[in-house]
Amino acid sequence: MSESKSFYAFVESVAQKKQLIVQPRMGVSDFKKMGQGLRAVSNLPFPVVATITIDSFTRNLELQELDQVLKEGHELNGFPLITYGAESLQELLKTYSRPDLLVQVRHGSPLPYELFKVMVEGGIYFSEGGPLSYCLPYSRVPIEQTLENWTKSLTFLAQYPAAHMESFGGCMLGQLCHPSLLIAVAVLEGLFFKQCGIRDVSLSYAQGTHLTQDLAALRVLQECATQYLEGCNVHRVLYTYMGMYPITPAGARALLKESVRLAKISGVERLVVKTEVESIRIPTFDENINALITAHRIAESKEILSDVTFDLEEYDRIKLQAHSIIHAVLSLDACVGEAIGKALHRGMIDIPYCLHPQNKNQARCGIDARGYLQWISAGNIPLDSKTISPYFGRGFKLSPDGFINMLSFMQRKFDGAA
Amino acid sequence: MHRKVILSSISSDSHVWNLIYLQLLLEELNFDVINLGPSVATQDLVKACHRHKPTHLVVSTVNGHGYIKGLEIIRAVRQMNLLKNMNVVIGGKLGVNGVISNEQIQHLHAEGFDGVFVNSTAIEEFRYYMHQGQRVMRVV
Repeated sequence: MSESKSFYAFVESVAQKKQLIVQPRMGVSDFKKMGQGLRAVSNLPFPVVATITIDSFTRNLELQELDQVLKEGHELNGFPLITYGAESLQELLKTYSRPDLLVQVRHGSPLPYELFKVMVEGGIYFSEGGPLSYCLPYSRVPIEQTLENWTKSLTFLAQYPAAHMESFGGCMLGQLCHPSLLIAVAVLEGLFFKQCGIRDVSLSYAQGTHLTQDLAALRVLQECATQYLEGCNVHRVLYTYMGMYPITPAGARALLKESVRLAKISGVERLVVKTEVESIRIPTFDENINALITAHRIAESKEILSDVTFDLEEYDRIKLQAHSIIHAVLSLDACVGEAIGKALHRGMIDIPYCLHPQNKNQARCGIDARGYLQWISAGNIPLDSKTISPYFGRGFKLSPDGFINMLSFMQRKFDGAA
Repeated sequence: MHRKVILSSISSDSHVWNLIYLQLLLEELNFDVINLGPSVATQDLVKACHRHKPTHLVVSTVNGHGYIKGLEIIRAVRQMNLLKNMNVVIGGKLGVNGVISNEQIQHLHAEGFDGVFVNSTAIEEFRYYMHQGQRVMRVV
């Protein structure tokens, strides 16, 4: 695989044709099957990025336990790249016939250095994550350790001109996080990448609970990308809703359609899709391929662009909040990594409902009557109180049932309408 | 005085929403909740119990490894003299297909769990159990 393939050049060429790149999540432990998956994606006659998702043992560097599980004949929830090694990856990338296919390694690791070494040696320079987005939500690794390892990993990756990094910061915990905080985390991780020498960057955003609010947020994300990441090639990547997903096939399809609509109206370059079985299990390759075909078809239809309202006031609020967080964090230290660490300790970055031992967990978000995400409490996050909706009053107390209702808001909305 | 609960997942489980929900539910029942979060190693769980001396340890897990890890946890906890009065319960989706057998539930009880909450009414039963503060409840 040639090193000169540029992620951004591909993104640009597709964007010029006003098309949307679609991408699956895809990873299995069986080598042959992984090759079949990549081949199936590469055979699609429209713009795609392929994915190798890494298993959770490798993510946590539990490689001995991984060996044991494989020996016992169990399947893993992803591709164990470190265990297979770089040569195997090179072999794997020969199994499909489209040399221009971009393959991104998706991993979830708070300590990705070992993985990046194998990945690069095997011929892939495109990955994702970040020191906040892959430390806080699911790991217990101290942020200091994550920042150190990520600095080393990215400095290593940045030696290769083709290197592309996507911040997963716009997807913190997958649901119930305010758009302004998602944007701030994505931008801060993008700045961290830049400081490590990465010049080809994408910023993520997970579909929220209301199309209009998301449109406002994605415009803010676009402007922040231009403003803060000068000197980098930047594009945006949207994730179809990552929270509790509709159970009915019709509800799941409708939510996928809504996310494609959001991507097209906001001009996002890339979309990571979900399948119809998402609420039940890990999808098969066929289900993934079908979701990509469906997403592409919807993206090409004109009707989805009609009847759009833009909420200028919400846009202003999200913009003020995102800038406020980014400025406050950057003012803590000239080194972005140091600033991120300090901000976490002070609760200036505080991810709602995140149970990482270093996350203050005083910030709370909820869903208002319109279906917008709002702050229940902002904790110590530096926000101008004038920008916070008064919907959840001071004395508001989140009940267990109220919480379940918010968690399942999109599931009920789309299953109900289906 | 509030009773103290340690709420935890198991070492391989990274799910968080179940833990947040149970925290809210336990707080509503006037418990002080120490939420250890996802992916907690068994030895760290035992250490936390020694440090905080809770009246209850609540283990919640949904990734399918709960039966195996549950046995590891209860054996480690029941070895400790200082923790012998602590109530220990487990719930969620404990088997790979979301379910475990009656024999497995009985086994978890036999190894020392005071409550095993796995069926469709698990949350109601758990709420009732915590509200009553009963020492032993067999849910089969």
